[in-house]
Amino acid sequence: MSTESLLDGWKPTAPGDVTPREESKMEGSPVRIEGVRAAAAPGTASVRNKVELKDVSFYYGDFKALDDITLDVPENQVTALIGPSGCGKSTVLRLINRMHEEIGHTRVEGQVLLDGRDIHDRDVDVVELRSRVGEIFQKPNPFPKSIYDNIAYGPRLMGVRKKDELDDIVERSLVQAALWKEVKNKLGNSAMDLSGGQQQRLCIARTLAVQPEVILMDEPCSALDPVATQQIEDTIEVLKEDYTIIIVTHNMQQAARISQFTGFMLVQETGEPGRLVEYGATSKIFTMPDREETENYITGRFG
Amino acid sequence: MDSRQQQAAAGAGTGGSVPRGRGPSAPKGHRRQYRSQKIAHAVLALFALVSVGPVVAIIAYLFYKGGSAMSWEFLTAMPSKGMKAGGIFPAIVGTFWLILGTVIFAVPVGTLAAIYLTEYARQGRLTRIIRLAIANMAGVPSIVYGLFGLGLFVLLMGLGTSILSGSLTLGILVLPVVITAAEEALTAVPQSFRQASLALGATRWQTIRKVVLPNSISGIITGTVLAVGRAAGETAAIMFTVAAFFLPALPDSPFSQAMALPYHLYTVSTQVPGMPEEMKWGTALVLLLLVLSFTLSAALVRLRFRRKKRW
Amino acid sequence: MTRQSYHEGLEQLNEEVLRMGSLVVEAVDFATQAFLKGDRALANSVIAGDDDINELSLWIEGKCLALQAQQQPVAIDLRLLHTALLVSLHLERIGDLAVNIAKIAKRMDRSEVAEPYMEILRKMSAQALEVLRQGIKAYADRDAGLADSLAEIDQPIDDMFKDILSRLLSHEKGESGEAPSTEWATHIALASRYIERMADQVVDMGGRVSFLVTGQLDGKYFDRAAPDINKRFGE
Repeated sequence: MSTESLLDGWKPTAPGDVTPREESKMEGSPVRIEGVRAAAAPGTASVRNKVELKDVSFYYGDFKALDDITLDVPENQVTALIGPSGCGKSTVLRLINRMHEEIGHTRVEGQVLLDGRDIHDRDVDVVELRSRVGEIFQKPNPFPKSIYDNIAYGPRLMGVRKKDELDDIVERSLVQAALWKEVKNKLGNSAMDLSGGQQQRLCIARTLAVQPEVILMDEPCSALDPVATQQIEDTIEVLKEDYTIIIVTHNMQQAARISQFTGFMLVQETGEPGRLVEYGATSKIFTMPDREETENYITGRFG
Repeated sequence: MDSRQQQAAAGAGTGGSVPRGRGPSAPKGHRRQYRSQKIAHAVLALFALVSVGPVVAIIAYLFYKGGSAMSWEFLTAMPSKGMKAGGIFPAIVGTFWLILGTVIFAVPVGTLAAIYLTEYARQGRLTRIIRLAIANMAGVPSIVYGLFGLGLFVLLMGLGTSILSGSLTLGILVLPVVITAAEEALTAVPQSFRQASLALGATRWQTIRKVVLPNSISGIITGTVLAVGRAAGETAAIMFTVAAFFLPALPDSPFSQAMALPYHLYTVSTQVPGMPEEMKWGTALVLLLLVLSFTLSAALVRLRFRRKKRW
Repeated sequence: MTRQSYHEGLEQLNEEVLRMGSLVVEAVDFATQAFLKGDRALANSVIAGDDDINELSLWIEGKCLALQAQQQPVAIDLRLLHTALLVSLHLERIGDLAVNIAKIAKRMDRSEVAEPYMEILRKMSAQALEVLRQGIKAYADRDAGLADSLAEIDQPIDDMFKDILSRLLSHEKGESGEAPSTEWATHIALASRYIERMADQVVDMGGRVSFLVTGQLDGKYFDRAAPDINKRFGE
């Protein structure tokens, strides 16, 4: 279904989406490695773009941190942003839930659209925006409360008071985050007693509890061991069925494993703003990137 | 265990397989280093003792001199015979009301000010000026607060010499302590908690109420209790604003004058000829124990919360 | 289950290789039947069907690439991807050879059918089909022993091929009977050559299966017979 048309003929990216039998009925060469145009790729297809950045530049005070970023994030897919430290990947994330406003002295040019609506419009309620666009942080950051209260935090903010309703939300969120089995008998325990990986899945469950549409993940596994990382990746794979996920990661193998689209960002020279060098289907980026900078980075020939 | 001991132990443990004579460096140099270290330790320990000494000495001395005055009657009776007999009950009651008034005024004002400074105000010149002012307030002599309270509350606002005037004056006096402690407590709450809350769609105020305050309450309480200790012992600031030398009755409203322990101590020590020694010292002892009890409870609160806190 | 879509992808890849295998078996079966019976319609269906095989082969290649690019396969997964890619390549070649045979079936003049040749070719075809079935079975069952035995069951095919060549050459030398037309002889020679090549591809494929199971790269499966035959062919 979805990805296949996006990929402009490059079928194998979407494992399980198209069976070869169906494919062989289609006309034309079924496999073409070339032809996925960078930023245009996802936009050209019938799949809906959940988030769109249009010519976005971003300033911290006088410093230009991002230059002219145009990025279409398709719905119900995992989109990864990779690139060396300080290239502005996390800044791009923050623009999507307006967390950059918590820093002060920032300025945004261009448009950031969520379902076609510019979220930087004056009349967009940032509180409502953030309930639609959740964020998972680099370091697991559960509140020093019980597991239950952590997850009920968001729903309670939104006025859910009934015990059985909250119980349902807590269970559903934990199940979705693949943590339910491990904690169902100790929901009253402090979240701080969980392991790092469990804490991060708790944070995912906490975000799911407010039923967001988009989930931003800022290097969610960088503080975790390989097993915990694996569990988070498995969770992401399931979540993508229902949510649009944008993940920033230092680990390009991770981007390759879990994402359907990848953007490569780079600061060409110190002091310059971060730019989106290339954006396209993950299989394309990791097989035949258009840009030499991308190839150098993902093959470890960077610098 | 120092390095020589370790070497010796290792040598003994492995049947002397470690060559003892040929250490990695000259033993002489080692010995000199070791000696200077010992001296430094001793000196530092001495100074630590010196600073604790007076406190212990004062407490011991007060017990020695005033312990004999301690009795149920001393704590609960009205003074009689021109203060020379009876108890100090009205002074204790006065001090209690003053403290209560101070807390009611200083804690909300101080905490809200701290919340504004840490959570809302854009950090810049204005907050720097405010913080500088607060720091300076802490250095203003208490007698100046006393005169300020006299001018503003007693005379200008017409509150008269009263518990209310005194509480407000003491409140202003301890405000820097409360604000500083609260600010410290608020900034100690990890930024990541705020981020998590905001990212879940909480407003700033919801974040403060549900995440920041619950996790900083121990620090705020500690600051409050310390401020109370400070207020309880304050003499100069209440001299002109509330304190009476002697009152035949207990205060019955915020607008009453009141006796207070520190002022009582001051007057009986300087203004009452032929005052029995043990009563003076006894008053001092009660005041000190009161202040110490506040400090101690602050320490206990802090300890209890620190044990619970894990981030 | 962890890394679900990755493992599903591998499974799907494996299934598609097997599906390609059955398509190729069918193609070889029909092509040789068309040739032996002179059935042009059947030959045409084989030629048309090759598109499916080719597309499947491309799909498998793309899938292997994507899985390697994105999933960092190691150990059995890596060997499977490597093997699947090469097996599909062999199968694709076998499919092409089947098309070649089908084309001969369409062109060959039936009047010149000479029974002794056809008898040998019938046996060769049956044996080649058997080798192919066993080769695919070895892949499906991850059976290194069966893969090793492929060279053995391939041997009669090589022998029959040599037999056909020497028979054709004996006409040339006037050693036996009336010489067939050069065109007919060429068709027979090529058909037998294609059948022989198909079986050789399967033997090589067996080497890949053996690698999948044992992890050992081994040259023993490589086409030892070929130089020998070429030499004879050039005589």
